Amino acid sequence: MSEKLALIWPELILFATTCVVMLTGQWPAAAVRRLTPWLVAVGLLAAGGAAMMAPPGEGLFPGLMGYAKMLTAGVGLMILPLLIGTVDRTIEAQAAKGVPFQPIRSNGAEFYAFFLFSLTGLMLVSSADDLIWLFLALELTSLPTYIMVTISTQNTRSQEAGIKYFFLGALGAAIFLYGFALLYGAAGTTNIPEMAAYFQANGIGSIGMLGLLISLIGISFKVAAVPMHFYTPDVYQGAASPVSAMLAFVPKAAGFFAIFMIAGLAGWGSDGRLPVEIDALLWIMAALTMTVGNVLALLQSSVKRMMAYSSIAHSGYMLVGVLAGPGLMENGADAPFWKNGLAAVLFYLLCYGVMNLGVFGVLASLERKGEEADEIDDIRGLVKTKPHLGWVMVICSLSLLGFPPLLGFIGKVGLFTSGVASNNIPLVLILGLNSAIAAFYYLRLVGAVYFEPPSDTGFRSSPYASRHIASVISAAGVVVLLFVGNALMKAADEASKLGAAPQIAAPVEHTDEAHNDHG
Amino acid sequence: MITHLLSGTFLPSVLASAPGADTAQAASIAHGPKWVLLIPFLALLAACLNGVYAAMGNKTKLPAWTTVALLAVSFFATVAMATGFDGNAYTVKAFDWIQVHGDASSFVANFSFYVDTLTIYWMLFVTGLATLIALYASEYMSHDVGVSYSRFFAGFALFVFSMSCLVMGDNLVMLYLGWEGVGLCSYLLIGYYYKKPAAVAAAKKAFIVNRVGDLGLALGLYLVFVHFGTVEYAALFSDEKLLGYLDAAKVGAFDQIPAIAEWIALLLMVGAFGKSAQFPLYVWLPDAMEGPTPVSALIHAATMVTAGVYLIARFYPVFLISEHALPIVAWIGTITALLAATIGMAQFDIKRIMAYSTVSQLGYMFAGLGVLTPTGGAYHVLTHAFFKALLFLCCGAVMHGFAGQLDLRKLSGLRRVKGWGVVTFGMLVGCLNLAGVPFTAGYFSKDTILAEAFVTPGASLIGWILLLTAGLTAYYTFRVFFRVFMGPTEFHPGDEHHDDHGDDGDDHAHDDHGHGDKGGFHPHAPGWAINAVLATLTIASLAASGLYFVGSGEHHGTETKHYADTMVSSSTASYHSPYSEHAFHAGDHGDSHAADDHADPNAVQAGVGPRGTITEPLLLFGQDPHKVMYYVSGVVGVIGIGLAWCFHLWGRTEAATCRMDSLARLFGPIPRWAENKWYVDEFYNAAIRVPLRIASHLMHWFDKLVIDGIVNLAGMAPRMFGWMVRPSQSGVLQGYAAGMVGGLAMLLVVILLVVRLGGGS
Amino acid sequence: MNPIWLILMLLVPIGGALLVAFGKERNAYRDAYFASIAALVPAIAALFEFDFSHAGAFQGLWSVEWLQPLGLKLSIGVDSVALLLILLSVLLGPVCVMASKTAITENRKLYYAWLLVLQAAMVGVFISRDLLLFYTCFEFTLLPMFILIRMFGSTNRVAASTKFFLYTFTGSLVTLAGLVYVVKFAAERNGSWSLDIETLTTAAAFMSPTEQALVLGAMLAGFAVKVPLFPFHTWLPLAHTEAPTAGSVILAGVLLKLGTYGIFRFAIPMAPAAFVEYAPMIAVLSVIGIIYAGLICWVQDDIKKLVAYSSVSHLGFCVLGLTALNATGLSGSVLYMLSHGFSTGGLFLMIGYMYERYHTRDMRRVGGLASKMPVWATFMVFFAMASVGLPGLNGFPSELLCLISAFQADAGWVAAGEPGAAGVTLGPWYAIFAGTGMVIAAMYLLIMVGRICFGPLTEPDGHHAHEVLPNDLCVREIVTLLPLAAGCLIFGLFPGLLLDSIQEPVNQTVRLVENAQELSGPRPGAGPDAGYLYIEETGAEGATP
Repeated sequence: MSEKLALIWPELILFATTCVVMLTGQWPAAAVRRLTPWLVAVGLLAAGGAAMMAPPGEGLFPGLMGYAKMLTAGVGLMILPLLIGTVDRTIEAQAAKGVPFQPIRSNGAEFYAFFLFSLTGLMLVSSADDLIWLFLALELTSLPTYIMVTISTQNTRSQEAGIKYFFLGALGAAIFLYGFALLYGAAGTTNIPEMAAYFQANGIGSIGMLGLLISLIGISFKVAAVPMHFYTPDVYQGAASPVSAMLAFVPKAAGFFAIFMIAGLAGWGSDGRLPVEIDALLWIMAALTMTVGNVLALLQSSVKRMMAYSSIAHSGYMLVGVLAGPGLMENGADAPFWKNGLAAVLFYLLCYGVMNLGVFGVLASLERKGEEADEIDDIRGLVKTKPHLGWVMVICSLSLLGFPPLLGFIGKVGLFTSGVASNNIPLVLILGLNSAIAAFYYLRLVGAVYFEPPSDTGFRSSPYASRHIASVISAAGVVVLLFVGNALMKAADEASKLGAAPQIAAPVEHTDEAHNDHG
Repeated sequence: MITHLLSGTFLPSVLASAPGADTAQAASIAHGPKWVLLIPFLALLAACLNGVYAAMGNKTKLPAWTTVALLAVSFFATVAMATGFDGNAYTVKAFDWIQVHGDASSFVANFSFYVDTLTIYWMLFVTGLATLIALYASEYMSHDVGVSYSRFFAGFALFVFSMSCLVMGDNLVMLYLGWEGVGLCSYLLIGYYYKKPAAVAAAKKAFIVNRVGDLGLALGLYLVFVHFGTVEYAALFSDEKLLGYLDAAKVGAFDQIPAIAEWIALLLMVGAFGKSAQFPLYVWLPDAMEGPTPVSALIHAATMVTAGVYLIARFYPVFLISEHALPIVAWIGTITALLAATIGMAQFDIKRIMAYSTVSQLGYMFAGLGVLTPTGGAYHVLTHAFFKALLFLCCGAVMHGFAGQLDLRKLSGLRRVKGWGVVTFGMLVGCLNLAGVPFTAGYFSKDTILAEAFVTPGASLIGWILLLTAGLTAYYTFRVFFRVFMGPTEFHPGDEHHDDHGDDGDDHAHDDHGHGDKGGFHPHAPGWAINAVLATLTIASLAASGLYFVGSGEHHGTETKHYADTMVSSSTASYHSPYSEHAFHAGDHGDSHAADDHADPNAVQAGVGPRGTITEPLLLFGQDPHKVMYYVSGVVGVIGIGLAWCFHLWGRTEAATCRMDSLARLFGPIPRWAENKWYVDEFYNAAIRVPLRIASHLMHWFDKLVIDGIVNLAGMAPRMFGWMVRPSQSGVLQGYAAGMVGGLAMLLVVILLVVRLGGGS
Repeated sequence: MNPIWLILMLLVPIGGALLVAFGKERNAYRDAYFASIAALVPAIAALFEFDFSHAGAFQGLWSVEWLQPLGLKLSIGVDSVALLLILLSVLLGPVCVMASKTAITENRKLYYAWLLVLQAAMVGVFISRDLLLFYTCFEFTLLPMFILIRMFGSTNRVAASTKFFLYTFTGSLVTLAGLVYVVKFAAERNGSWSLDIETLTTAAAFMSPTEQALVLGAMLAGFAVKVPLFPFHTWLPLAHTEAPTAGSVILAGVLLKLGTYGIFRFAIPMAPAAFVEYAPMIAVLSVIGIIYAGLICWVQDDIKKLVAYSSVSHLGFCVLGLTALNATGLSGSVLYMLSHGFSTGGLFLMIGYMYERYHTRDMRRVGGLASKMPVWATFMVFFAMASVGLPGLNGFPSELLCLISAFQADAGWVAAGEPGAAGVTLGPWYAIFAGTGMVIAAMYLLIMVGRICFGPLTEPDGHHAHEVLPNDLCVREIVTLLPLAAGCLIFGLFPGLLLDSIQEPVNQTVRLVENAQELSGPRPGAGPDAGYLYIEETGAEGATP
């Protein structure tokens, strides 16, 4: 028990921070309330540090925890400054005018607390070695976000978004819980490594296969992959940009960690490929997800919706990495980064979290009486009017587009190489063409921001400096991470190593093209 | 490398010593003295200097004198080259030009010059005439003194440079350089009066039509390289393969010669037709008369248009190994000669008449080459160069004096006008030569060709046609002379405003001339420069006939081996009888209508042997044509002149009308057709230009609509797909839920039924 | 050679760009001018230090790890071909800057900064010895060009720039897939992941014909669009017409060559057998392009569009030379890459200068300028003649070699023991049809010159003299033209200098192709495995160039 505790120190720290934040968040003294974000930051830092020191865990991906938790803490730290000023504006304003502060009407405490809860959930997902734990962790990740979406703005759209998100989320959860149940039925255990070993030994029966498929599809709700993607645009648009930024990262990350594990249950076979059914499933989902996401993003005039669809598309890209798997070498040794699809996914999650943040950050930093920018017209000529935001927009859009040599490109190369290495050439070509389609709308963003004359739709830069800082930081990250990319990729590579390699080593055939074309 | 690079900017002579020079020579051949380089490069220097003058806006006659002086030096250098020539060909290299050294093959074409008798022969009259005509132009162009004056002489000198590269180049690529270079210069000089749309159009036409021929030349060049592995004369003409083919051709065994080798000659031939204005590519030359007269004289009469003859003479061996090339050359030449003559008869613009006569005479030269007397061709080139230049310069003098008047219906009896003596006499001499009146140079050179035509088996019809043409030539030549210089004196000035010329439109003496009335009009007689040049040329044309008797005196067949013969037959064009006949004979044995008949071995065998033994087809009036032809053609010429006299001079009272007019009516529309050049231009326009242009428009639309349309469609495709799937984003909660569950179900069905049962694992 | 020069060639323009971007608007031109001049210094130093006696060996090699897990190194080095292309791009720098002085009136900082960035990117393409670095620079050139067209282009610039970006970007993503496949193959063959172009080239030749065919297709998807090869050319006229003058010059001078360079550097060495097999098809496309684009030129009224189509036609010759795959052809083609920019670039400058004065490119509205702008007209005729391929000017030698090579590359001649190509069969018909391109070129260019320079002077109604510029060219403009004109002459009269220096790389490529043919066994039909096993035995020394 105690060693389990040792594994989840970061979560514990975050939990503790949450409790504190609950208090400070609604402390009568404004000074203390204003302290809250700082406390959150401290908590995240501490958690990150703890994650750094944490021993390798158990489960299929012992190394995953460390990376995942640091990733969570890091991106969390970047999202945090965006969140400031999302809720409680009026109350704070009145309080500043001297109206007595009524905790009961304030949301600050819950907001930050839920944020931390969600991150905690994400961390727990990464350290899950039991389906129950996995389920609970996933829900712990999602449930707070439902509420965050709802309270993120005053207007009804966010409430509608919250409701939709909640119901559909519940449906998704139900689906993969059903899948889990089937898995338990098939393997007679909920412990993931044991289950993996069982499948390894006795093969995956129909029940087990059905369970795997259903769980994967259900979990794909978290990563907003087709066919579970419907909620994304409405929710992203309804929520306040900071929350959307968070949604685009936290549940997605959780989802991918979970998908790793479920896919790991089936195992990447001796030829480094998943069982054909799962292979086919992920293949179809990847292709559909990126295509649908991109083509729908093309039609949007609302940046938020556009980014929602683009987040769908990016999930599709990352599924290619999952498909490629850890790409074991002939001698069963661990594959180098370029072959390791999971590492590519982990690295790309980081890239995506950073560059995606920038775009939402810019939207969050533009206000018209409390409402945030959304339409493309609102960001026209930003480079001239608000250069720092404009350039953030340009850099992050180009990076999302995968324009060399920015972070997005480097991340995508990893997916490319792993895809090619696992002989998924057609899928890689689809990935390439989709990046081209994506260029259409990202270029529209760049064009609007950089070339078009400013159109005054009454948007002023937000009073919360932290948001500007957050955006600039993410843009800087897009460039800076290029130079520490080395360490990050290595870390991702480490993180994606399978624990006890359940496969028997067998030579990889180069010219074997049998697997090239499913679907 | 760097030094190499820098040295690129020094004088060629310096460059010759640049590293890598040794790699140049493909075959072992002597290196000549470097000063030979002066001949082309002095002309280039002149061109550059004139360019500088133009840039500095020089307003004197300096360009003219520079050009004349430098060209004169280069002429004397040529003379020195000629006198110093010891009978062995040599090359002089300026610098490495194009060299590719692959593992399998290497392509070498240096900027170097090849000197043998043929080169010397050609260069002598090229540089000589160029000098004289430059002197003439110094006065003729005097009303343009200024930038365009420099421009004119720059082009002029550049032409001489290109022409000498063409003639002296030691490889086909150099020849091609000169070939295109002269084309460029003729383009620039025809378009000298660039404000006249006619001039611009003519220049364009000249260049483009020439480019068609050039394509042939270029392809021939590639083929030569691909087949013989070299383009350098020295290596090419000593190539065993070529010599082997020649031996095969000697016995008429053309089947031993690969088709490729035959194609070489045919392709080079196309190039020659283009440059020498042969049918069907002759249409550009008459229009080229839009250029200033000195240009017409030098480029479009004396030198450039003979490049085709040079090409064929230079590559005579290559033509001999081709079964059909020479017959085709002969027939094309003949057709051209006749056609151009008929057109020339019906023209009224004396300069155009001269132009058509040039085309016609070029036809003669080609016929000469075709009937196996490169000597005759080359000799006619020489004589023609002199008398045709003379004729053009006389026309030019008239044009200059009478404000651009060239219509022979508006000029008459000029010989009586004061100060036109030299011109008249020059004109007379020129006409006598052109008409082939006995004992003129033109007479001898033409006879050589005619006689050879009758001598060559199967070519007698060619002979008859050429004979007829000779008569026509005499007629239209003297038609001009009798109309313009004889008869009652009467003239109407042209309407030429010289501020049409050039760009510094200075108003000058001509502008106050009343138009149409000869009262107020005073033609200004040619000045000393023009007269001097005319006089020189007159003498030269007369002297040229002397060349027929100068020479080694060694006997060859029945005729003395005269100067031209010596020069030509000791060059690469030296493949004379016996076997060369069969190149022709095999081509159209027995029937002279179809030059491209297939060879019939027996017939070939029948033709073997020295010329004497071939009896039947060689007799004309039971005599050896070489003798007969002197009389026959003389008579024909005189008849032609007589006709001209009785129709155009006898009892003519005014410039405009003569007996011919009434006679012409008898022929119905034919004279009008002839005047309109048998509508060949119109035919080309309708048959080639218009369809091509339509095609281009279609392609343009195709490009815009179809190809680009497809691209745009591809660009639109994702968007359309988006429109298709968009409805799924209804925003309705239940809809989404249904979508999720439906999607789940569908995926499961697909996977479990299709993949699994479809024999996945 | 000291790599510092290469690095400087990369850094100086970037530094200049920063200087311009953060300097004053009114100093933008001056700073850019000095930066572009300064960039010449390392270029010339490199030229002097380069050892042309080993032109085929890569010199100035320098490399530093960047993203080790991806194998991405910053590794640079040049052979003579790359070096000369770099010199070309660096030389065009000052020309383009000077040419824009009066043409660009607002946003000068952006304009010149991006111009310099573009120059750096082009240099980067040619110096990179790391596949991913190459690809990065190759793609990155899109951005500055996109911005130049989009911000400083004429009326239809948005459509033009977007099409330019998306078309080429899409193509090169497929190319990336192909390149990555090669890397993967090499990695599995050598057991170690490397992006070093040398290594990859060596390994790639062992791919089975099928693999090679796929890789070739993928590569061409990007390179053929860039060139542009016949059916993929429609972006070019648009981009050229809308781009600012300097943009067109760089586009014609260097950017198009990235495609042919890519074919020369990657497509041919990495998929030799497949290239040999499909060369005839590519050649057909290029020949079609030559004639088709040429005829389209003939019916253009927009003079800039005419020249744009003409470079489609000209690049056809370049590709034709590549497909011939023999020394003559490759030399001619590389020479074409180097020399084409001078004449076409010159023409674009001429048009730009005319446009500045008349604000129209429509030959129906302006013409006969010789009488008003004699100097301009002189240069116009000169560059037109260079473009026609007049011997003695730059177009000729390369055109000649490309056509000869097409002729040469025919088993028919080769059988007679004549110099032949590496098994490619193009033959005379290719040369003949391509040759008609010479006639067509003469046709449309002379007609253009005739309309724009000669004949009676016509100016657009309501035309008034330019406020700054004189009627005829001013000194600055002439200065920009002189290097190009000099280039035309030098390339025309002394191509030997360049041919010597590119000989070795070219011959290496030819050998590589010939070896590869032996390696991959009987070409068509041979199942992958047949060729494959054979390779395994005799490979190693076989494919090393």
